[in-house]
Amino acid sequence: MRVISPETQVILTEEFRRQIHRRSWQILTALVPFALLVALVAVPAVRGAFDDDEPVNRLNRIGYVDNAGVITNFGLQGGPREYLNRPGGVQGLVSGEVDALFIIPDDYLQTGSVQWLRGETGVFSDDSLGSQFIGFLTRELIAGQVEPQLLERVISPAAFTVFEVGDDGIVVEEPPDAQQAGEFFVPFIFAILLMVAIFSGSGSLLQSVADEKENRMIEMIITSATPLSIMAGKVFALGAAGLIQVTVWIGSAALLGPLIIDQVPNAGELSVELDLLATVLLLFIAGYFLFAVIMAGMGAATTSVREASQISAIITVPAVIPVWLSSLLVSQPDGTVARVLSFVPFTAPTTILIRLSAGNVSPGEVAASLAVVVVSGFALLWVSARVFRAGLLLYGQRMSLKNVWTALRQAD
Amino acid sequence: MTSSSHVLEIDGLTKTFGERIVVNDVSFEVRRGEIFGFLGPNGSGKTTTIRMALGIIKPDSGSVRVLGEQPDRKLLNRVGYLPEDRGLLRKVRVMDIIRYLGRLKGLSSSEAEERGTELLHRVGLYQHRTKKVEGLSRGMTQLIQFISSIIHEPELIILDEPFSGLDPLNVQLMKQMLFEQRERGATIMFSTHIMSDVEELCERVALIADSRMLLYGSIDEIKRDRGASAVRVRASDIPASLLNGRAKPADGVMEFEINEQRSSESILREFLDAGIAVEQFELLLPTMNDVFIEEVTRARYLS
Repeated sequence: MRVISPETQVILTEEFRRQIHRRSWQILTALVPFALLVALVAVPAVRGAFDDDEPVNRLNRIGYVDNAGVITNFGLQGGPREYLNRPGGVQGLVSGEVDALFIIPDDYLQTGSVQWLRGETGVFSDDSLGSQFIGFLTRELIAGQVEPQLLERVISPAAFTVFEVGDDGIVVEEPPDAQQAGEFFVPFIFAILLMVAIFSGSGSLLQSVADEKENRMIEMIITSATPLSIMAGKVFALGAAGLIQVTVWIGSAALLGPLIIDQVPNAGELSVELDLLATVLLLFIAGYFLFAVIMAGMGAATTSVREASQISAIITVPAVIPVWLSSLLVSQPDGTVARVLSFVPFTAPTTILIRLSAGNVSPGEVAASLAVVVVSGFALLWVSARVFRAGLLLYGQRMSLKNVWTALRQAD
Repeated sequence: MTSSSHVLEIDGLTKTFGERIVVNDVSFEVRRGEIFGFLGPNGSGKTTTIRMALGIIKPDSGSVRVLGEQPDRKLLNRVGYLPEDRGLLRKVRVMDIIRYLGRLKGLSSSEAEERGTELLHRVGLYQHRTKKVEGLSRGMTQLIQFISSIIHEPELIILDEPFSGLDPLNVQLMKQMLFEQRERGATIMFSTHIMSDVEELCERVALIADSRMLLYGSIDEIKRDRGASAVRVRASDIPASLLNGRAKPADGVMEFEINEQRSSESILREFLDAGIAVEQFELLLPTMNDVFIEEVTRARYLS
C-alpha cells in the first residue's frame, strides 16, 4: 500500500526543490551554523577582553604603594608590582607598566581607606582589578595568622548547592547553572526559530499556492491531482524543507557547541537532556506543519498573490502572541493563561516551548497539546483542500465569506 | 485504450452560479480521431462546459464520459488540457516546468525531459529551455503550456481558445502540430469563436450561445441544411435588372445573394430571358462565419 499517491510525490518533490532553492530558506538554514562559527571565533576574543575570572594573570597589571606595611609577600611570582612612593607608582601607571595603582596609607588599619589611581577608562571601566586587589590584600593581611584551609575559606567562604522545595514538600536539587541555562535557552531559541521559520517558510507556501491559482496553471495540475494531493504535497514538502533546516541547526550545534563551550570558563557541564530536545523538536515540527497548512489554505482561498500576502500577516499573529506574553509565561508557566494558550492550536507550539524554557511541563500536558496541534493540522489540511477546490470557482471574484461558502457548497 | 467510437460524451450538462444559468442542458459527442470545434461567443458557457468535462467543477445535472468511462484522475492522465486563462509560474525554468507537468501526467523524469526536448525543438524554443518563464514572451509561454499539455501523448486533447494571443506564424505552427497529433491517433476538441480556424481544422462542431446548444453536427451538413446563400455566375454579359448599379466585372464572374425576393432559379431565369449565355452557375453555401452570426443573433433575439 502506498503511503502517498504518485501525484503527491511529484508535487512534494517539485515543491521541495523550489523551497530549498529559495534564497530566504538558504540564508535562514545557514544562519545558525554561521552564528555558531562566529561565536567560536568571537568567544575567545571577547573573553580575552572582558574576562575577570583569572586574577593571577591580571595581578601583574596592578601596582601598589604600601605606606602601612601590611604587605609582606610582595615577591609573589606574577603578583602586583610594588612602588616605593606615589610619584614612582604614577610614573609606572603613565608608562603602562600597570593598569591600576593602589596607595595604602599609614592609617589603613584604622580607616580601611585605599586610594585607587587608574588611567582614563571611557564609558566602560574595568572594576575587576579592584576586586582582584581586595583578594590579594585579604590574603596578605591574614597569611601566616590562620590555617591555610581557613585562609581559603576566608577568600572563598561558600560554594552553594541549591535545592528547590515544591508545593508538595518534595526537595529536589536544582541542576547546575549551566544545565539550567541550556534548559532555558534551547526551548526559547526554538520558539523564536519556529516563528521565523513560520514567517519565512509557510509564507512562501502561501505565495506558491496563490501564484499557481492566480496564473491559472492550477487548472492543468487539477486534472492530474486531487486538491488534497496538491495540498498534502505542498505542505509535506515544506515540512521536509523545515526538517532539513532543523537538522542542520541541531547538527551544527552538536558539532560546534562543545568547541564553543570549551572556550567558556565553568561551562563544561552545559548540557540539554535528550527527552527535552526530542520534545522541542516534535513541537517545532508540529507547529511548522500546522502553520504550513493554514498558509496553504489561505493561499487557496484568496484570488491573488497580493491579497494572500496581506492575509498572511494576520494569520501569523497567533504564533507571535506567546512571544509577546513570554514574560508572563516564564514567570507563571503553570498559570491559567499559559495552560489555555497551550491548548489553542495556533498558540500551542510556541506556548509550550516557552513554558518548557521556564520549567517543567508535565509529559501528559505536552502530549495533549501536541495532539491538539497535529489533529488540528490534519483537519485543516482537509478543509484547505476543500477551500482550494472551491477557490477554483472564485477566479476573478472578491473573496467574501458568502462567496467562499457558496463555492464550498458547489465544490465536490 | 477504449474501443468506444466516442472519446467524449457530454449529456445534458447544466450548471448555475448563484441565480445565473451558465450552461443549460448541453449535449454533444466527440468521435475518436476527429478535430471537433466547440463554438460560441464570449461568455456563452464554453469554458464552464470544458471544466465540467474535466471534473474541475461539478455539474448541477447531466453526465460526462471520457474515453468511455466516468472521468477520474487516472483516466484524465490520458487527456491533455490547455486552459483558456493561461500562465505558468514565472520564477521557474522552462524545462523544469515541462518536466513537472509531464511527471504529473505519469511520465518518468527522464521521459518528460526527453519528450520536452523534442517538443521544444519542434516549436523552436529549445534554446530557451534553461530560462525562467518570466523571461519569455506571452506567445512563447503559451507554446510552452501547449507542449506541456501534449507531452504525455494524450488520447484526447482539449484546448480552450488555443490560438488567442498567438501571432499568425505561431497559429500556423500550432495548427500543424494539431494535425500531427491527429495523425498520431489523438482526438482533438478545441473551443473558439474564430470561424476561419473552424473551417480549416474541424469536421464537426457544436455551437452554444447564452448557455444553450444551438447547433451540432458536421460542418458540411450544417451548411447544406441552410441551403445556398448566394450564386456565382460566369456569363458573357449581365442582365441590367441584376446589376443594381454595379459595374460589369471584367472577367464576367459575379455573385448574387439569394434572399426571400430572389431565388437561384429566378436569377438563372433572368439570364435566360435576357438571352445571355451562362458558362457557369454555382450555388454558394454559407460560411461558418455566416452561420455563427445568424444563429447567435437569432438566439439572442428570441431570448
